[in-house]
Amino acid sequence: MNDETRWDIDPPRDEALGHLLHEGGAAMPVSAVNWSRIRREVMRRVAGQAVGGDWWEFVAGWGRVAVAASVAAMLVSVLLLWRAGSSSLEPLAAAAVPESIAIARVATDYPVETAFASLVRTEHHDEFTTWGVR
Amino acid sequence: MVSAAEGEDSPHTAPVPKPPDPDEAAAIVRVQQGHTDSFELLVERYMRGAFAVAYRLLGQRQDAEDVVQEAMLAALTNIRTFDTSRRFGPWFYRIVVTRGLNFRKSRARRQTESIDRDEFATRAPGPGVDMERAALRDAVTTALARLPERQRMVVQLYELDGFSGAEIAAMLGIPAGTVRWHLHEARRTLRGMLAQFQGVAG
Repeated sequence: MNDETRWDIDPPRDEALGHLLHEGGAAMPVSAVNWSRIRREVMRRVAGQAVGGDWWEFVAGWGRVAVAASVAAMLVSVLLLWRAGSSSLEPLAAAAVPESIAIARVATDYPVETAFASLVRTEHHDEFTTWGVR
Repeated sequence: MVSAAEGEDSPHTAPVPKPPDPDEAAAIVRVQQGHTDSFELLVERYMRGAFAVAYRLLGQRQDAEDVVQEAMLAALTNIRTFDTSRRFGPWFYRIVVTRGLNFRKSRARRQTESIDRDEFATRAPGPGVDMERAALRDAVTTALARLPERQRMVVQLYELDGFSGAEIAAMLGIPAGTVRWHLHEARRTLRGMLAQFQGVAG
């Protein structure tokens, strides 16, 4: 097997073929290219262009910090709630249902039957009773 | 011929330095840090190779120049993703190929005439060219046109532009062994078709 049919290494360059291709017009028009102009134009456009800087790169860069800050905030919240204790929450719950508390207080001052009858009357005191339908 | 990285004229010189060049790596790091003026080293070093690749894809000088500029700017935009422990050339030439193929697609939509006809029209011999040379040009033009595109690119990049099989493989996204097979097939075809000129066959 010669060098040209070994696929693991580059074969020697074929100078004769390269010369023919070159002479036959297959070479690049190197002399027609204004390399200085290309370099100047690229650098002019480079000067007005930022490197990278897409928004997801920015977000990805701050991602770890954001996760750490979230975990810390959660821990602090849990700690504060635990220290405040469940007893301190009761007044809040009571304040949230003042009407129920007031009814209960009034009802306990009377016999059960009286309180029940009062509640039942209240329950049926709707538009029909007003019109005498009851 | 133009070598890819150093701008040397020998077709036997590998166009891109094999290990990452320290100066080049330092320049890339500076560009990654936002010092875009350091990009000029990369422009100077790779614009000729980029032009070679783009020209082989597009067949027109002006189009190739445009693609070189677009590829340079695309490389700058994405340079933060580049790993400086690797060589810049293969990564950059892959960008050139991608941009070149996209350019060619958009150009094909704009015009109906084929790339090959365009390319060969610019190669038509002038009035001062003698008959033998004109015959050689015709023969080379015809022979290259008969090659499958991938073979044509490989043989030109290898024999005329000085790229290695591994470099061509990286830019085309195919195994190096496949590149060498394409080279072998292209050489066989060209030698057969150009046998009458200077005894190329054999």
